[in-house]
Amino acid sequence: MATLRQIRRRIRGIQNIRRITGAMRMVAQARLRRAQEQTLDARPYFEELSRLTDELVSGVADYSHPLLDHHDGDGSVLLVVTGDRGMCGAFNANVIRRAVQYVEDAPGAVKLICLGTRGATTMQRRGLDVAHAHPNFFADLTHAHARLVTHQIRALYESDDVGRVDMIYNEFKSIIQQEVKLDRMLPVTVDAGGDADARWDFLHEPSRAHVLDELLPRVLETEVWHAVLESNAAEQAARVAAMENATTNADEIIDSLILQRNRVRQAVITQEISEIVGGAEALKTS
Amino acid sequence: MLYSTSFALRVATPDGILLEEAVVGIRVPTPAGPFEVLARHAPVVSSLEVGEARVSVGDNGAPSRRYLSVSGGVIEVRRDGVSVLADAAEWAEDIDADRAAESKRRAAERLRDPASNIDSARAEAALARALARLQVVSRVG
Repeated sequence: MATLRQIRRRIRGIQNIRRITGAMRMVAQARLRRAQEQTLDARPYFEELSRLTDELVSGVADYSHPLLDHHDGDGSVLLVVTGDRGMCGAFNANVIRRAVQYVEDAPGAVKLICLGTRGATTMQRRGLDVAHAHPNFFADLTHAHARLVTHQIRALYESDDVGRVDMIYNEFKSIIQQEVKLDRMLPVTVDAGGDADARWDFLHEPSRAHVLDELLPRVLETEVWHAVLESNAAEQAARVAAMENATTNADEIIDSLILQRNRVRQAVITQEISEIVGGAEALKTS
Repeated sequence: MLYSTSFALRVATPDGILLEEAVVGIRVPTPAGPFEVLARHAPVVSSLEVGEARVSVGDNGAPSRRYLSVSGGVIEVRRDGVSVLADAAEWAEDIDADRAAESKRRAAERLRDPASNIDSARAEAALARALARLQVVSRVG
């Protein structure tokens, strides 16, 4: 049985851990709030952009753009969005497992673009073909970074034998639920079934095709940005849950250790008394 | 006949909505030059250049002007309002003049230096953005 001193030391140690997990939970909670605000802020732009693009594409009869082209190649590009840090349950592991599965099932070679330190280091360690790694992507989360990633995706897609670009990320379902999602990014699919006539009375400066040329890369950009924001919110939510569990768990361990400590202390006292009594009895009889 | 001289304007960027209110006019930079939209303008969709946008608020005769920098995007004029979807936009009051001057200097330097094999298109875009922000910030001097 552990000595009193050992138990006291364990209690102190776990109390320290509890303090840290409690603090991390609060930090994650604040970051989660910020991440949710960012997602909400971006929504009007997303919605108007995709509506406008769908309407314009359905209005142009024979429009072509590199991002709409279907390529024949077997190769693919996969954008993997993980977090920069751990301590968030299975958040990173889920994405990585799904991405590895994707690579195994793919018909041809897969080039990876990894956002977030976790995915970047894991994929490189596993010897997968990481074309671009972005460690610490979430440290400074600005839209300009999503643009850079989009440039890299386009450059890879325009090279030969890349037939498709997909992305895997965590979607923020709710505070307690994240879901790994696999989305097709390229070739861009636009919903051309919309009301084609609605746009014919519009003037287009300089031309409808030119406006579309400008819009399509932005559609791709907002898809990246959207996935990044979703993943960020999901990561913080996962961390809040993980740290809450850890804190509750630490509380339980502390409680049971205190119980054990009291029992051991009582045992020590009892033993001391019985030794004294035993000693006194021994003196009396002698 | 009395027409309303104001219309609903929304300026949205990926970082949020910058402006959503009734205005009397907006002038935006397009590939064909500055383009001013007033109330009851015919529906049009146009791409935007990097540059300065001017929003006119209040009375049509003597409106108060507010300036913002926009870096590319698209403007959509509908019958029920105007949407500007910009990659990035900043009010003149929010622009840091020193930082804009600094990024202009950096971009110009990169363009001048033939030894550095940088992406000249990106450097030029950066220069254009810096110039636009400097122009906009001079409006509030």
